[in-house]
Amino acid sequence: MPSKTSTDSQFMARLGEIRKASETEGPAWLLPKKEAAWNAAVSKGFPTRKDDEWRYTDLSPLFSLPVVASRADGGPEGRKSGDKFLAPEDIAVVIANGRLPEELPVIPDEAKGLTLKKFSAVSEEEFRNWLAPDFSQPTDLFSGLNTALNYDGLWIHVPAQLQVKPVIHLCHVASEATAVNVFCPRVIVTAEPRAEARILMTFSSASGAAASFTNALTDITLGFGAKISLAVIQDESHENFYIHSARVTQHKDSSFDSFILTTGSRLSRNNLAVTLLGERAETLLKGLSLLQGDRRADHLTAVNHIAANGTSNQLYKGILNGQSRVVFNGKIYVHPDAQQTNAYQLNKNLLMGDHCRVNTKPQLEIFADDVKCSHGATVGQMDPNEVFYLQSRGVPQKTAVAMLAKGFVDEMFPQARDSVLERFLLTVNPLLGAVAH
Amino acid sequence: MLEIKDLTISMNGVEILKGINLSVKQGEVHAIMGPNGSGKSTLAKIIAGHPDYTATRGEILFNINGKMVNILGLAPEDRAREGVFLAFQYPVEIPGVSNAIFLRAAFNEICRYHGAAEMDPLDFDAFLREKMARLSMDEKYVNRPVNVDFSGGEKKRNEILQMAILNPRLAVLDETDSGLDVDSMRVVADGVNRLKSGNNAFIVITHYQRLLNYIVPDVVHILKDGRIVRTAGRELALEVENKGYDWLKQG
Ligand SMILES: Nc1ncnc2c1ncn2[C@@H]1O[C@H](COP(=O)(O)OP(=O)(O)O)[C@@H](O)[C@H]1O
Ligand SMILES: [Mg+2]
Repeated sequence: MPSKTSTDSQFMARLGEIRKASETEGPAWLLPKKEAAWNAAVSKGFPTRKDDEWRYTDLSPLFSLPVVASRADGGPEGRKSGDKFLAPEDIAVVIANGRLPEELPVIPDEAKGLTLKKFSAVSEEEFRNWLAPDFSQPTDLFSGLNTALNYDGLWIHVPAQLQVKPVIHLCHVASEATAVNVFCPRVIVTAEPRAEARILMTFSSASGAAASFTNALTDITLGFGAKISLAVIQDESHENFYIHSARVTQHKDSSFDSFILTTGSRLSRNNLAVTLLGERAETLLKGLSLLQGDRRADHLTAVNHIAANGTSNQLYKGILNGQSRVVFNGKIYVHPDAQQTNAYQLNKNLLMGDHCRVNTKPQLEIFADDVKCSHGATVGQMDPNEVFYLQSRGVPQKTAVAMLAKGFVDEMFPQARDSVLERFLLTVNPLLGAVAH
Repeated sequence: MLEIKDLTISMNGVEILKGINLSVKQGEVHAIMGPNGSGKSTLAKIIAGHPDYTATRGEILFNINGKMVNILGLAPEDRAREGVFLAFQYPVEIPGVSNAIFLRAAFNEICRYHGAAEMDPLDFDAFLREKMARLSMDEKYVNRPVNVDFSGGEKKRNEILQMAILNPRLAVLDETDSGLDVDSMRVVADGVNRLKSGNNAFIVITHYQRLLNYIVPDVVHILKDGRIVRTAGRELALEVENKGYDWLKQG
């Protein structure tokens, strides 16, 4: 059993043991990538707080995690524990303890043409045509570890013009009772011109599950005029460590939106990088952190405007109580060619306790001159005038506070109720009561 | 019904209300006029229980079940449930909370407090729409967040709507007519007159005597520099409209 003061190199060594179990797993095109990714990771080492992107989040508790290799079948019982988020009309893939199921779901007629494929079933040619760019992107340490330690990934391909109506639900469940596992789920989504799909990724822990470390990597490419929406719910146990890097590439006229809901954990790091490569691309990024106790959430966004006439909007909110802490580091980069870019960013935080903390840091690098850009951040207690206004109508103080907290959240959901929103509310509503008091 | 005795408030060592005495009986309408900064809103807000203000002296007695109770010790929500209502000079915006949900929550809180049955959403919706129609409020305000993106006039109407729904025993209207055109002012006045009965009372704070042509006061008070410097019948309103406040010496 590693001691509390286990170092990053000892942790890397444990990951090396785990890797041995999977280094020869996977298709031929993937093995050299895994090998290279591992070697790069080892030589790079873990970032420290001297690293700008990790200034507010200390990784050292992660290094004490006594991780071991996960069971090859993922633990069949785990596939049932994601029930809370499963809906019968979804195209659902339950990823139990980091492992894809034996069989991927049958594609219903209404989504005919949609491809769901494991990396292990992807041909050399498909790899070259669709997946290769994502494997040649520059990676940070955790993305590299994902590639090195992933058992098998999932490729989702939406062909031109197809509008996928059912939600594609990737339901991640951690259910191991004693073994501490590291999960490295990898998803690549490719959407051809004018394709449309909604993807929901849920991450939850079964009750009584041991701590785990989820290190997920998601790549999404939107072709001309494609529309993809990504909803992420991280609602894991307090003991978990979670790092999810999503990288999005948008071509002309495409439109991407994301909504990340996190309840925090020991570590919850959400990296989201969006590159607007084609003109007139639009992107809308939303995030909501509902944190209590000593949970943490850390959001790093990077919106890169490379082409002209793009629009990006970021809205991240947090409600915190106890000693919880949220970090928001939002970067906007506007390339000299990206004229007439509109890029907005807003981070609003509601502090319900005296000991919670927010670190918010906008980072704007603008190299085009004809650009509309704005950013703002608020951190504060609930406005006593708002509370009084409700009280003056007969609403008791506690209820008033809860109503205002709910209003703060509901503002983020202007759309009509749909099945994804229902899933959000499943997490939001019970937690809101807890966080608001 | 309301008996304010020697009410004194200091903020940062400065007295802003300096011993207010005011007695309002059931069925009466009192007007309070006075220059800006004289303490009118402070008086209105301490009646409703705003946490910014604590009395350094005096009391506010309010008839609760036949007994005169000092409500300074009551939470704002309890004052509201006992029938105190304040139409705010500056209504507060509540993002994300729809007007209908807010109003129903408030209405049902008060029902529950008095042991009455709550109204279900459908019945409440009908009740709300009827009240809104009377105030010529567009239906789009039903589901909008409270006061968010409301014009100044719509915010004031929304205050009167809340008053009409909660049916208070004592309503304090703080400059509800300021910034309203004549038509809107008439709508507001109608709202008050419709509610007015022998069982309730109104304190109408205003700068303009014109509102008092529609809401006829029984008594007019002039508040100046934290003191009530004159109390008389409705003719006093006309007098200050013509002569201003300067001729009234400090109490
Ligand atoms: N919360 C407060 N803190 C400090 N001073 C206040 C506060 N509220 C009111 N005042 C002061 O008290 C005086 C009366 O204000 P107010 O009651 O708003 O006057 P009116 O409504 O008659 O214009 C003003 O000088 C104002 O600056
Ligand atoms: Mg005032």
